[in-house]
Amino acid sequence: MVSPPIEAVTLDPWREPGIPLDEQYRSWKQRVKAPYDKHDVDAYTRTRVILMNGVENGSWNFSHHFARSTDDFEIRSLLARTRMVDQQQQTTINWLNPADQTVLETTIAYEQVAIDLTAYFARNEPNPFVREAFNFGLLEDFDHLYRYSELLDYLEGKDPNSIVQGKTEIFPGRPTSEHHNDPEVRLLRHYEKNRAHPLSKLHTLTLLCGETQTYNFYKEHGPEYGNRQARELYAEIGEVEEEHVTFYESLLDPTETLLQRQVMHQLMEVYNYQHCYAHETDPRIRLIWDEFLHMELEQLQLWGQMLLRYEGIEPEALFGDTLTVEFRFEENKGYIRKVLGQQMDLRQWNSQWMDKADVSGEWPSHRYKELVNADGIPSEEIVDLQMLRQDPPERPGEELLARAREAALEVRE
Amino acid sequence: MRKEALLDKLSEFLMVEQCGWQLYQVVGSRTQDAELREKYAEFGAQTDRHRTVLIQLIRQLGGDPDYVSPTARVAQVKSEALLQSALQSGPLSDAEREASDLENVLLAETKDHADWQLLSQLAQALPKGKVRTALEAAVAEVEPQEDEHLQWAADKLAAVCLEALTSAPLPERGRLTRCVIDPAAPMKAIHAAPVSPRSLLETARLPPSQETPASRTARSAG
Repeated sequence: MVSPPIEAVTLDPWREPGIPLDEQYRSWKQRVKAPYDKHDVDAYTRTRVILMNGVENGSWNFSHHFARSTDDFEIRSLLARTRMVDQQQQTTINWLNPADQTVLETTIAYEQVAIDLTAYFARNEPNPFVREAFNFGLLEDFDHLYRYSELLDYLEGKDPNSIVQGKTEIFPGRPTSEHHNDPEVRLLRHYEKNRAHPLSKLHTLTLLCGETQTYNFYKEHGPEYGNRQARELYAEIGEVEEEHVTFYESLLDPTETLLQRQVMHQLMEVYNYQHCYAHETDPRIRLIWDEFLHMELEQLQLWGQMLLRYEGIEPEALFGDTLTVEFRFEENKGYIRKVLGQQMDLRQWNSQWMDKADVSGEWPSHRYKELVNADGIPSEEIVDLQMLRQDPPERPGEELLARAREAALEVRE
Repeated sequence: MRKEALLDKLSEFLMVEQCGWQLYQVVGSRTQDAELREKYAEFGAQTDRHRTVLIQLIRQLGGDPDYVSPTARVAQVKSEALLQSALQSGPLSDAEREASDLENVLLAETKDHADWQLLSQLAQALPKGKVRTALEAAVAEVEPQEDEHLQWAADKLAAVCLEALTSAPLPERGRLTRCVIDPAAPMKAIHAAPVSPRSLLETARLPPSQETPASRTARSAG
């Protein structure tokens, strides 16, 4: 299905009225809402829930980091109060996930978030270098979706398309076995805060929150499986998520002050709640996005005032007077196929990308890859296990996965 | 003279003015002292003008005022560090906070003053021509004001500190417990359950040079 043309939403985040901070706390009963129905939910409603959970956790985490670096009472007080709201919002959002959605099903949705978020950002990223970083990460998350889909079929006998609903393709990308790098290799040169397009900052920060959440989710839930194959696959892909966090955070200008980052986090929350609100198809969940957007607007304005008071910077200087939000979760199949066709064989070194044929023997990742892949590669073993299954395809979707499997074996050869 | 090197330097000086202007905005809004507020406003307005002078100068020399040179980036970090010091000033009394802001102004103006002194020396060393004329005009307008900013900040800070040391009321003593700054902190006073040498585990009492059982085990395993 082709999405309707993008309608950008513009708002004045510095003046748009929000909900006063002291009216933002919610009771237990108010904050825990009924989950969505996993059989009925739109795939992109589920991705919005997963993304915003990551965004809230990211902001919460940064707020604690900031609080540990200051002893100014006013700042610590505002941090404590806005952080308390953040964690309440996080509860509401994450508790929308239903109990009957298995960890693996949720995992498939996590990868769908990563793919359609990164692909859209890459398509619209103003900085060519940052765009290439997104493209590079995109092909890795794309492959993770395929590997986990095999695991879902293997362990639970379920069609991964019941989760992604045909909106995101399930096909091998750059093989996961190739994602394991010497940690230093992942470091990129950062954008320059005074020169970077503000959108690049919002894109990077959003992706960073998403990847951090994915890392936490895999590391937390991987050991809950009794099956060795599942445990190992979560361990392998979990480590790649650590690489992704390293990768994307290295794009941030290290000279951004804590207050500037705090304001950017708030702006990023407003940006993301705005597109959730604008494109949500479930009216009940749309109301939540609407409420949280107006909470964040208030928080953004309070932090903007702090930036002015403590650093003499008009908050508008960080982004401009208006915030135009074009993002929406939508299909990116054509774009991903194009990037896959052109960039599957790229490798990274010294903040550059090169064809794997041009990578010299000095590349530190050769050694690291050899070490971690020395006695078997879980992301390849799951493909082999699936190949060994003799039963003919029975359910819809099995043929698609079988075709993806053939492609994965071809790449290996 | 290498024009590109000069443009890089001017970018740095512009950043110093920009951050100086921000500093005046912040300290001006925070001060409780009417005289300081007036001076901060006056010097802030002059610093604002200095930004414009530098922007014009960069354009006259064919540069882009939006360009941020590598040294400008570092200058920005240093200037912002002055502002960041406010995030650590929780235990300060009002008078100490006021003096700390003034000290930040002195530090910023010291760098600012050195920048314009360098431009003045450069103008004198250049052969006659467009660049020299442009530099001389900028220096003639700004340098006397920079002299005044620096002198005032030094004198005022000395006066404020002298007063605090001689006649101002003593700061509240109890506040020191809020931050441990005593080099020989009285452990019993600050630690609810101080660890005495007798309650330490045996390995913790070993001298640092001696191997612990764990390190011996690790060595023999290796």
